[in-house]
Amino acid sequence: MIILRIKYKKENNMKFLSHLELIKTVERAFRRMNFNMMFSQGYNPKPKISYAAPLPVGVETECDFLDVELEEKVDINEMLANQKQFLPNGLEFIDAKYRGKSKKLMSLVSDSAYIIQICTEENHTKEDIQSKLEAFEARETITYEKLNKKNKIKEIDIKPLINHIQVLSVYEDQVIIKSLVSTGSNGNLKPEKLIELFCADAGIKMIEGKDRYRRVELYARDADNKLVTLFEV
Amino acid sequence: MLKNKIDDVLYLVEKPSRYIGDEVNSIKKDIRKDLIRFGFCFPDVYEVGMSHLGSHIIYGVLNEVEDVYCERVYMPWIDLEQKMRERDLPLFTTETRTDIADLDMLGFTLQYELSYTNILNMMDLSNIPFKSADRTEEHPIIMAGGPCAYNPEPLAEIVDFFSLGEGEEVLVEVMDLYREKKKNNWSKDEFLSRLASMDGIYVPKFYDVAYNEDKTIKSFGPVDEQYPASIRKRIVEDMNKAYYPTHFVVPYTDVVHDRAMVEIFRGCTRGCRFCQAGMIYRPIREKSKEVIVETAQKIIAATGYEELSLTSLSTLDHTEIKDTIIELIKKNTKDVVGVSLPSLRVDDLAVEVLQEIQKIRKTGLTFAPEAGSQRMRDVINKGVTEEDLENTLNQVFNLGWSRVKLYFMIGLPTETFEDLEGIDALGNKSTWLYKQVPSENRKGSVAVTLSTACFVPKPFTPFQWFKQNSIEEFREKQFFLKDKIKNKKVKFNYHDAHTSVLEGVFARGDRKLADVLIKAYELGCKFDGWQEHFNYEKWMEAFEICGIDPEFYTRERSYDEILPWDHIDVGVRKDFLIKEYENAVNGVVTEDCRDKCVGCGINIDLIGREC
Repeated sequence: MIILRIKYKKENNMKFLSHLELIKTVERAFRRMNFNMMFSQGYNPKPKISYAAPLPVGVETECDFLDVELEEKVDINEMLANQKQFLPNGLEFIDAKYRGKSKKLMSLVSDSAYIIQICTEENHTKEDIQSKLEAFEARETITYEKLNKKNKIKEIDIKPLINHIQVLSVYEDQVIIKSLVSTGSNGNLKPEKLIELFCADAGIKMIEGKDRYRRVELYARDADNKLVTLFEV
Repeated sequence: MLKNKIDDVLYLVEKPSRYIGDEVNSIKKDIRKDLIRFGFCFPDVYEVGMSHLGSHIIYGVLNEVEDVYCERVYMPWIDLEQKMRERDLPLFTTETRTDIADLDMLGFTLQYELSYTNILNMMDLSNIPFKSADRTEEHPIIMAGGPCAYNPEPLAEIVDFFSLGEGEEVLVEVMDLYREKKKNNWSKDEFLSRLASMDGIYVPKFYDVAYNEDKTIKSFGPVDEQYPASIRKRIVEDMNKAYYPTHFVVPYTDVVHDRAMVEIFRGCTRGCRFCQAGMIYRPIREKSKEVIVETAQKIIAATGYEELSLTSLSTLDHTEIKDTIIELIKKNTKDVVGVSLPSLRVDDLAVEVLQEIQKIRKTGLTFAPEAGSQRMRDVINKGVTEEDLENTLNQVFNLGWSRVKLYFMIGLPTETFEDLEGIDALGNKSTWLYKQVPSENRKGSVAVTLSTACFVPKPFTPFQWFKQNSIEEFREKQFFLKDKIKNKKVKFNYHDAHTSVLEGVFARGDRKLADVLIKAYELGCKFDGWQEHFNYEKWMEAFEICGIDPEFYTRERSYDEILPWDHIDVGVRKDFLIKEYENAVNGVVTEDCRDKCVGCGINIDLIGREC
C-alpha cells in the first residue's frame, strides 16, 4: 500500500471552502497532477483520500494533513516544485512523506494551536488581557450548557481541553491570542467556543462577525503522551 | 477598499466560496487603461450560472482577445444581497471585485424569462438606471443575448442592444467596434447606430412600434432606412473549427452541473413542435468524433473533472455517437472519469449507449416521452412509439436499473383527459415491466417518477399561436392526474402553474411589459424562478397598476397578426411553422429532416447550402 501524507496550507480565499468543497478541490487537483489514485469499489468510486481534522468555513490553516492512497509513487520533490500550476491560490502543499500502514489520520490527531484575532468594543492593553486570561485559566471548571441529541441539557467542561492560552498582542480594539487546545475524537474544543466563553467570563465585548481563526499547529501524541507532528507518529 | 469590505461580508453568508472567484482556470488580467472591460452577467446564482455551457464559451472567447477582459457576474443569494444593501456595497465582478457600474459593457444572458427581475436587481445593486433612455455616457452599455433574446421586446426599453443567435463570433466583432468607439470618442448613440447594421445585432431604440385599438401590433419597423427591417440570427458555420474552451473554470462549491461539458453538435433535426431550441438552433452542425474526443481529453486534463457530459439537444442523434462514447469510455476507465448524457430519447440506441456508460459510473436515468398518449406524441411530433418505450424500459430494467424518471408536458394543443390518462398508464406499465424482469436481474424495488411541466408556447415554434392553458386549466389537469395515479411505486411531480403562465406572458410579450417588469421588481419580486421566492400576487398587482392584462399575451393569436418578434429572423419560415401547426392539429407526423428535407427554409435563407 502506497500512502502519501501531505501537509498543506489553506488560507486567503481558500478559507471560505467548506470541508466538502476542499475534498473535491483536492481530488481534482490530484487528477490534474496526474496522480494515479486508488479508488473505492462500487457504483460511485471515490479516490481514497482522508483528512486529519476538518475545519469550519472561514478558518485558515498552515498545518493540516491529508493521506492519499496511490497506485504508484510520485516524485515528492517534483510534486512540491510544480504544484503551483495545479492548485488554486491559497492552497499549498508544504511537505509530503510516504507512510507505511498507519492508523486513520483522524484518529491520530490530539491537539491544535490557533492564532485568534478578535475585535472588541472597547480598547484594551496586553497586560489587561493577559491577567484576564490567567484568571480564566485558573478556574477549576469552565462549563457551558448544551442540548444533546436527546434534547436534554448537558453540562460540558472545557477546562481539561485547554492546554495553553496566551495573549500575543493587543492594539486598541484588536486582540490577538494563541491557544493550544484538544482536537479530535478524544476531546475537541472549537476555538470559537473558547473565545466565546473567555469573553463572557472576562466581560469583554467582542464585535460579532469580526473574529478570525488560523490553525498554526496540528499534533498527535506519542507513547509518552508527548506532542509530536503527524509526520512523526 | 471594496475587496476587503466584501471579504468581511463573506464571513457572514451561506456558501461563501461561490463569491470568491479565483477558481482554477479563471482568467486574470492586468487592469490597464486601454482594456475593454466586459461583465458577463448571469441573472441567477453562481451555481446555476456556472452550469451553463454558453457562459463558459463566451467567457473563453472574449478573454482570448488581448485587450478585452471578460469577468463574470452572478446574482448574490438573498443573504448576501441583504448584507450588501445594509453596507451599501455595489454588485461586484467575481474576478476582481469591481463595481459593475465601472465596466464598459454588461452582457446579460437570457436563459429563462423568470430571471428578468434579477436583471433589474443586479443593475439596481450598482445604481444603474433600468431604462436605456435614463442612462448616460457614464453608465455601462447593456446588452443581452441567449435563447430568450429571440423575443427581445419585453426588455427592449431596458437593454441597449441584443445579440441574436450564436455569440462567439459576433461578440468579438462588437468588441472590435467598441475599441473604435474608445479610440474615436464616439458617443454611445453613435456606437449603437453603427452597431445596428452589424449582422445579428438588434438595437431596439432604432425601431418604432404602433398598436391597434385592440392592443395588437399595427406596425413595426426601423426609424430610419439605414437600419435593417429584419434582423437575422448569427450562426457558427463549422463546429469543428469553432472556438471551444478547454480550460473551463472549475467551481469550488457544488454547482448544478458540476462536470466537464463537451458540446457535440448544434441544432436538431427531429422537429418536435413544442421545442423552441429545435427551431432556433437550426441547422444541424456536428463536431467530428476526433474533435469531440480530443476536446474531451483536453478538458479533463485541464480541469480534473471526474465526470464528462456530452451535451446537445438530442445527444444520441450524433451520427458517430456510439463509437465516440466507446472511445471516450476506453480512454477514461482507468482514471475513473464517468461519462453522462442529458435526458434521453427512448430507443434501442439509448440502451446500447447506457451499457457502455455504466462501465464506469452508474447514473440515474431520465427519459422524455413528453406526452402520455400516442395521439398526443404525434401532435407534438415526438417520434417515439409505445413500443419504443416498452422496449427501452424492459432493457434498462434488465440491465439492473430500478429507478427511472419520465418527463411529460401538460397543456399541449388538442390535449384531452384521455391523453393525460396515458401518463398514468405509462407509470403503471413501467412498474409492471419491472416485475417481468427475472428476479436475479433485479435490484431492490422499482421507483418511477412521472414529472410533468406546464407547457409554455414559445416564439418561433409551430405552437407560437396557441392559447396557453390558464392556471385553472393546468390545476384541473394536475389534480386529475394526482387523483388518478394510485400506484405506490410511482411518484408524481408537477410544476407550479403560476410560474409557467407568467413565463408564457413574457415569452410572447411585447414592449409594454417593461413597465410591468419594473413595477413587479419595485414591489419586491426577484428570483421568480425559485418557487420559494415567487410571489404571484405581487406580479398581478404590478399588471393591475400598469393597466395591462396578462391574458392578452397568453391568448390564441391569428396567423395574420403581427407578432412582437416578427422582425427577428431565425431562418425558419413562418409558412413552415403554420404548416406544422396545421399538421399538429390534424395529428400528422413530420419526419426527421435528417432523412428528407421538410422545407423549413433554413438551408435556402440562412446558409445557402444543403444542411
